[in-house]
Formats: sequence, C-alpha cells, structure tokens
Amino acid sequence: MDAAILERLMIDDALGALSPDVRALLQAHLSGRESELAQWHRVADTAKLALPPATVESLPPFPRRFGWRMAPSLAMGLAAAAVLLLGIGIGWRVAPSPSVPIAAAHTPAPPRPVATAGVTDFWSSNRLVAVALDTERHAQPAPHWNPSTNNDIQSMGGVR
Amino acid sequence: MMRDIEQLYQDHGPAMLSYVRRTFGWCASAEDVLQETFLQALRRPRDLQEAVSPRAYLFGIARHIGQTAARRHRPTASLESIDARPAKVNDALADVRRAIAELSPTLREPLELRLREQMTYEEIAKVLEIPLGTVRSRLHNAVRQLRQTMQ
Repeated sequence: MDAAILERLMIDDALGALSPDVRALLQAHLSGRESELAQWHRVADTAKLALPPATVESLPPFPRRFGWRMAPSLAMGLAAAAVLLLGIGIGWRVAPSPSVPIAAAHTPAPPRPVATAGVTDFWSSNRLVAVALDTERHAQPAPHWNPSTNNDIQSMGGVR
Repeated sequence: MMRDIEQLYQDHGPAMLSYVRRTFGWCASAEDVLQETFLQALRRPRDLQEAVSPRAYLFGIARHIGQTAARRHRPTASLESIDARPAKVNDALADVRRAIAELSPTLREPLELRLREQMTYEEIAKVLEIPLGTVRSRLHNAVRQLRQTMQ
C-alpha cells in the first residue's frame, strides 16, 4: 500500500474516525509495525489531553419568548393589511366628500323646457346690443393723467 | 417543533456555549450568539428538520454568527495569545497546547471540533462548510504538524 495512504489511514485511526472493519484491515496490514500506529495515537491522545477541557457551561434558560414569535409570513400579512387599511384611511380623509349625497346624484333632473324658438332668437337683439356696448367699453383705453386737463380744471376753480 | 428545538437546546446548548465562548468569546457575548443561533434555527425550521446532523447545523449557524461578530470587532487579544499561555500543571501538555495554539486556524478548528466536540468528519464539514476531503486533509496536516512539534 502507498505509504501516504497508509499514513492517512493511521491518522484517521488515531483520531478515532475509522470504522471497525477498516481498522481491522489496517491492523492486519501493519502487523509487525504497530509502533508506527502507536506513535500517531500518542500524538492524538496528547493533543486531546492538551486541549483545554470544555468547561461545563451553565446554560441560560431556554428563552420562552421564542414561543411567542409569530411566523414571518403571518407577520408580513398583518403588516400588509395594516398598510392597506392605513392607505384606505388616508385616502378617505384626503378625498373631498361629495356635497350632494350620492343617492341624490342619481335622481333624474327635472326635464328642462325644450326651446322651440329659432336659432336667431337664441340671443335676443337687446342682449346682443348690451354685449356689444360692454365690449366696446372694455376696449377703451384707461384714462391717463393729462396736465392740460388739470390746468383747465384749476382754472375752473378746481375740483370741489 | 418548539419542544424539539428546546430539546436540542438542552442537549447541545452547553457544548455550543462553550465552543462559542472559547472561539468567539473575545468579540461577542456567548449567550447572545447562542440565542441568535436558536432564533435563526426557528426562523428556518425546515432546514433544521432536514439537517442530517442538527448538532452540526446549529454549530454551523453559531460559527457564522461568531464570525460576523469577529469581523465587526477589532481584537484586543488574539485567541492564539490566550491559548498559548503556558499551563502550570504539566509542561509537556503546555508545549502541546502551545503547538495547537500555533496551528493556523484552518487546521486548529477542525482538530478542536474532532477532539473536543467528538464530531464526525461529516459534521465538521457541515460546520465549517468545506468538503469532506478538505476536512480530512486539514486534520491530517494538523496531526502531522503536532507530531513534528512533539518530536
């Protein structure tokens, strides 16, 4: 057997990692050379002794609050529902409330009288004249201060 | 599930607490790491149930948390310097202890898990998240180095 493989097997045996069958095979193979195996065992045993012993730790009590932790999916669902409700609430507060009840909005409006007059009567002649006058009045320039006018006013005795 | 994990806590908690205190005690509270370990295990119950070795799975989580704490923490005294303090009981053992402390962490960690925690190679591979062959070769190298030191 390859010396390197043999050495690896001996170290595994020293570390207690070989199955009984493999160990028996190894010992049979090493018949007459048991001292080599014993050396590896000595190294492993000494190392085990040299390692600081595992101190017996006083274990803190199992945290009971573990039991109260809700499942992550449930927590996520509750959080999503809370956000949704919050959004609905904010939307309801921000949106302008209708001044007319919705039910009233659906009530049909009273029928308007259908105009039976001709198109020319849509604007009466009086109305057309009033609009024209109004437009003209707005189109006139704003009055400016005129010194000559002021002098005329002064000569007439001023503004009373 | 709660009862199972509580049983795991009772069974492996002391060893885990000791391991965490020994390995990461310089940078984190062992109790905090232990608690966080079991919290994480509770968050992923399926992983714990499917784990071949729950002990190795829990040790792996604890090691992860400890390493995260170690990365955040700047050590004031390294683990090597603590472990390398000579024991007064037995000089020969003190030499071996020093030799173990002088091993690189990659070699020392699997050796300690094997000799102290009695973990199988598979469990060590799970804890350290390395292939089984790597565990074996690291253990071989560690023991070879110790033998050279002892000679």
